[in-house]
Amino acid sequence: MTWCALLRWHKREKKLTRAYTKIKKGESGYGELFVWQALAHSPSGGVPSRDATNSRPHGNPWRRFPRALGSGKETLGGELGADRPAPAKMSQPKKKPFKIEPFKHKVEMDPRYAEKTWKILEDAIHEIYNRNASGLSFEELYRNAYNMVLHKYGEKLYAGLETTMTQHLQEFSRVIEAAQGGLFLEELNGKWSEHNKALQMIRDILMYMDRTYVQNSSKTPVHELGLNLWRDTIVRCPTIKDRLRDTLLDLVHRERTGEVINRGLMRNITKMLMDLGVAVYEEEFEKPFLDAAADFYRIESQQFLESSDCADYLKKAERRLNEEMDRVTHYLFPRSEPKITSVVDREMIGHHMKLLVEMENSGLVSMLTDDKYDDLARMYSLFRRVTTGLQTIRDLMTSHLREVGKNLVVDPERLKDPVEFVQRLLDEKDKYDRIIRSSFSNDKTFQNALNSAFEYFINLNARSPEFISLFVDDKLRKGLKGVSEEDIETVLDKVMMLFRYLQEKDVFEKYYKQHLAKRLLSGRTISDDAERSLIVKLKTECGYQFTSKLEGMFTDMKTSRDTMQGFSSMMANCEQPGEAPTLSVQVLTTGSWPTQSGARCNLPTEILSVCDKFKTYYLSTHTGRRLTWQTNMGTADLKATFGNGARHELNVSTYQMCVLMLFNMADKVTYREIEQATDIPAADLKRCLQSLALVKGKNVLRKEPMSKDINEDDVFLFNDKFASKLYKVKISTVVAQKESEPEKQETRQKVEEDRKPQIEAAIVRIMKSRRVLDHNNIVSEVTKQLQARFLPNPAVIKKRIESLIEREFLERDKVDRKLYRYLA
Amino acid sequence: SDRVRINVGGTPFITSSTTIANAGADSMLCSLLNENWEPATRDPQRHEQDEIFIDRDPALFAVLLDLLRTGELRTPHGIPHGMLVREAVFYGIDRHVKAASWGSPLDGNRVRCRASVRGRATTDAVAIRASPGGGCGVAHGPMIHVYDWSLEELPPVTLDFMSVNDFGFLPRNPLRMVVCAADRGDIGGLGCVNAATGKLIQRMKLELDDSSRSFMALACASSDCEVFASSRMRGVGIWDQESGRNVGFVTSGEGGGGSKLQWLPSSNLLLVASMFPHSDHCFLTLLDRRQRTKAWEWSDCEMRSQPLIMDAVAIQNRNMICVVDQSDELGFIDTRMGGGGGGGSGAAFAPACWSHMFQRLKRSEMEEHLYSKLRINASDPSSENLQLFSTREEAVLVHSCSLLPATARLSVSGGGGGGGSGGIADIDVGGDRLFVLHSDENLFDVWESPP
Repeated sequence: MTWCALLRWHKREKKLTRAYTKIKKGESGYGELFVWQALAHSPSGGVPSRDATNSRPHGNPWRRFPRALGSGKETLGGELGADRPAPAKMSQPKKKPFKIEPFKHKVEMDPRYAEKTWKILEDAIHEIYNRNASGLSFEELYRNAYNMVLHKYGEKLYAGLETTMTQHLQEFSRVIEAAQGGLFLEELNGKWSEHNKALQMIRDILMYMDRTYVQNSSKTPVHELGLNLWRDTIVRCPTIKDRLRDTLLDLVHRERTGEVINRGLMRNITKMLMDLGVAVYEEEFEKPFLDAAADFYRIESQQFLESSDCADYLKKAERRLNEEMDRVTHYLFPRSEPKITSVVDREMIGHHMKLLVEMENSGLVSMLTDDKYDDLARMYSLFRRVTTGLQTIRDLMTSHLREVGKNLVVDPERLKDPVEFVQRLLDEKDKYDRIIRSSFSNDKTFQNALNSAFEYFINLNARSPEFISLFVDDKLRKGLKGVSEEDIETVLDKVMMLFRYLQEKDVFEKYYKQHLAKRLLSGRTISDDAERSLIVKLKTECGYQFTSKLEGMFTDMKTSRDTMQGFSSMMANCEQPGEAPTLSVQVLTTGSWPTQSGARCNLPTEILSVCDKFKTYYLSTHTGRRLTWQTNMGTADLKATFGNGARHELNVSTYQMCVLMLFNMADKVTYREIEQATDIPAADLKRCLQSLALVKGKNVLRKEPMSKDINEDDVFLFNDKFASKLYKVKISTVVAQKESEPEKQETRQKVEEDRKPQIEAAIVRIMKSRRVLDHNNIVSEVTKQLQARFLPNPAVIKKRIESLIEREFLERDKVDRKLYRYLA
Repeated sequence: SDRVRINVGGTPFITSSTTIANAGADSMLCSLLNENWEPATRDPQRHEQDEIFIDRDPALFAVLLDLLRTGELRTPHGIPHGMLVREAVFYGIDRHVKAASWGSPLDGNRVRCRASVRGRATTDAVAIRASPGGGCGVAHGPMIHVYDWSLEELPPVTLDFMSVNDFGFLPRNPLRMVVCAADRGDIGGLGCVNAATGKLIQRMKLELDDSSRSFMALACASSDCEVFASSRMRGVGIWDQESGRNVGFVTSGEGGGGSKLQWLPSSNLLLVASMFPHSDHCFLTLLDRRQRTKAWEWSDCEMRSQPLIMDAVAIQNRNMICVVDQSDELGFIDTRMGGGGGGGSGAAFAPACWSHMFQRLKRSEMEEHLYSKLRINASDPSSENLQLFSTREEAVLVHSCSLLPATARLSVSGGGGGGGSGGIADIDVGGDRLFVLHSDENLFDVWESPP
């Protein structure tokens, strides 16, 4: 059917509708005629089917009329609406607007239409690839492609495109293959950009196909198709594939060995591979590139190892690493960076870590010893890139540190001077702190390693607590004189740091108490603030219990000062001053101070009377207390006149005073007489006589016979010829600053004694909450609880448990002997 | 210099290259001015360039050029929408027309009937499903008639002319459709179809006990990467969207595989609802996709006095399931109660949950009744704009926010120009549109929110 026929048909249809309406109004006869007339006018070639029906009812048109009308309407609609089926419910007529659908008809086309159109498009594609597109009209090409798709030739168009494009790419491939040497990449790059441009234009032309046909039939879009064809025809072409890879790798290798290469070209080529898809980039370039890098660095690291020391090696490795990163930013895909750096890490560092850190004379140990901060920092930053790298450095540092520390604490030479000993520890700690800070970027794991190493070797020496306390004593007595408060704080903080490493903190406490007592009683502490500051630090570290007694000592000192004020003002009121010796008493609470119960001595009568006065005074204000004189801890100032009339003030201990007072009555006294008169314990007496008679320049007594030791048969004489430049002479008791061996034993024993109740208390606390527990668990719990103060010995714990069983705090389980039960 | 002279079908148009640039780089209009093709337009020496000729209808181009200039689509009287769309596809700016003519996100309180489309099938339509791309499909017996967003009819879809039970569009790829149909022996009742061409892409079979078998699929749903379909007796199968391979099967227990499935993306659960007439009682189950286990279940077995539950829809961000019974009453079930798949969970469904807003309808038993359907506006399940759509005779009720009571009543009889009067067979919401399928006359209405 042609368009012309259709138009006429429309006209007739309108008439028919009119006829229908008229008939409805009742003019049936006329209407019928009209209909027939209208139908008779239709051209014979119009609609054959209708003509067939029309030709039949010649016999009796009147009767047929209603049906003809009804079916006429239906068939008319049905035929015009292409393939619309008759509605199902014919029996119940509904008000339906009579609507005529637009006629859809396929235009008869030149059978060679598709061929012709495709020819135009194909020629255009050729022109585009030949870079001769200026004469082409986009609109015309687009329209042609549009029409092809519209007329269901999408498949032909698509297939044609694929074939044509493949042809051109094969042509390209031959050109690229023919390129010589260095021109190969240039040619490839040139053709790639040509192809890209052509692809862009082809896609423009075929945009309609891309949006409709390609989507509906799930084909690859044009642009992607172009890339895929390039990939398969060029990049993966057997003659190009290997050559491309080798050329790229060769260029990279040449750059590694110092040549300058065309980075822009490299960049374009790698970008091309990326554009073809990540998989192509990885397969065609990245994987072989990484393999080549691994080979290269494997060999180079060997060469470096043979020719350079550790520091140099690390410098070279660092440079290589930076070069590779640089390479990635210049012409590789950013995703390659972690991969290539991990290859360098593995080959240059990972495989040689042990060798590097242990390198003779240049490895980690010598870097640490020589404070090579830069080299250490480099080692840290390189090794951290490898999984176990830092572990390696840390382990070696720890073992080195333990070795050094062990030498430091067990070397008998070094034990002679406790202050020096502690100072060395502090210096070592400072050194490593500095290294960790400046080279190891304050790495927490390194700090922990450092701490554990210190903890390990400080506790190797059982005297460390004593030494640390002595160090503090030294600092607080003289070492910190004239030092600013801040500096004092720094020193104290460092001491506290060492203190933290101690396992036997209670031993330190014991010593500290002794040393503090001496400092307080002799009034030789440089600063009360410093003392208190340290106690606050100890308190925050170990808790209230640890320092309560130490704090008690300070309280005693303060109340004593008040008491003495009251006492001396009372003395001034009732007696004439000058006659009696001035007495200064410090009242110490029993238990807070390290007192020796056995200390005794007969005081001279002059002193005794003042003492009695004080006692009465004190007890009058504080009833119900008992005062005991600790003569071993006191000091006295004596005014003495010697032979040539020289007057001196002698600063002596209480014991020494007692001895010297004897010489008021006689010039010559035997040892036995002194012992008898003063009742001083023999060891103390000997020490005190030694200091009076045998110290050069301070010998207020003479001894007969002259010898270095005090014997029980010795006789002592008043040294009339004593001379000194100073008016005030301090005669110190000969006393080892360090403890003597028996004293040490004694302290030790005291500490052990003190630990017993603490262990027992811990056991009872634990058992009270757990009721039933086996031996091993008790031991571990007790150790955990007491860790802050000391490390209890399992054997001691066992003994304590047994003692508690005896005292019926615990019992053994009747069935399982390993279990203990708590008895309420 | 910014000026561009285009001659469309003999009528000259002068516009600017910035206006043309609005068409987007992937449009024919943009390529037209591309320097690859028109080196002259970039020539600074020439101020007056040649006209670019396009062999199309100038009147239609004028409308589209106005769209590019203003962003609004003003169609003069007498220009059919379909023609405009066809023209827009030619110029590569159909996406602009779509954006401009299509309403804003669907708001049930502010909708208008955009079009009524009459189908040509011989049998009454039974189901309508919205595509995320704005189109829809209408099932009549063995056929599904598919319409694109501009409501142009596409080739119909069938699965070997087997009776269609359910179908749906894949949320990520609106060109693909899953069709559930009766099983005819070994052919299989589940397939993935290209919605644009109507061609079968692949069939999906159940792989149970190392043998692949066909089955009758009752209902389907799809997540971003998987397809779920229920079989009559056994449970729910899971298929991979890309490969079409069966990747799992979950037995859903009593009540069978479920006559309706709904995927809940935010909680990764699948609602399986077995309802009348597929089972005598209503069984609701939430399946955990990863664990392949039941996360929650409920049934109305214990409530004998209640009328039959006809439809159910899960409202994910409220943790509830809305159900509707035979007499069009809505009920709400809290999925946080009960749970665990225990038998006692039914107690959570207190009678108080029923809304007594509506009087029960009195119906003559002779009349064939179209039961209420429920749909949820699920485009953004987390938003406050959540709306529930339910049908009542010849109207769609919109429940917003608190869900009760209805906030809008969309009367579809007479309204929208379709003239349908036989009640609503089905509704669906998707692609920012509400589709209402009439039970008679093969008619469906499309509702949109005006921009």
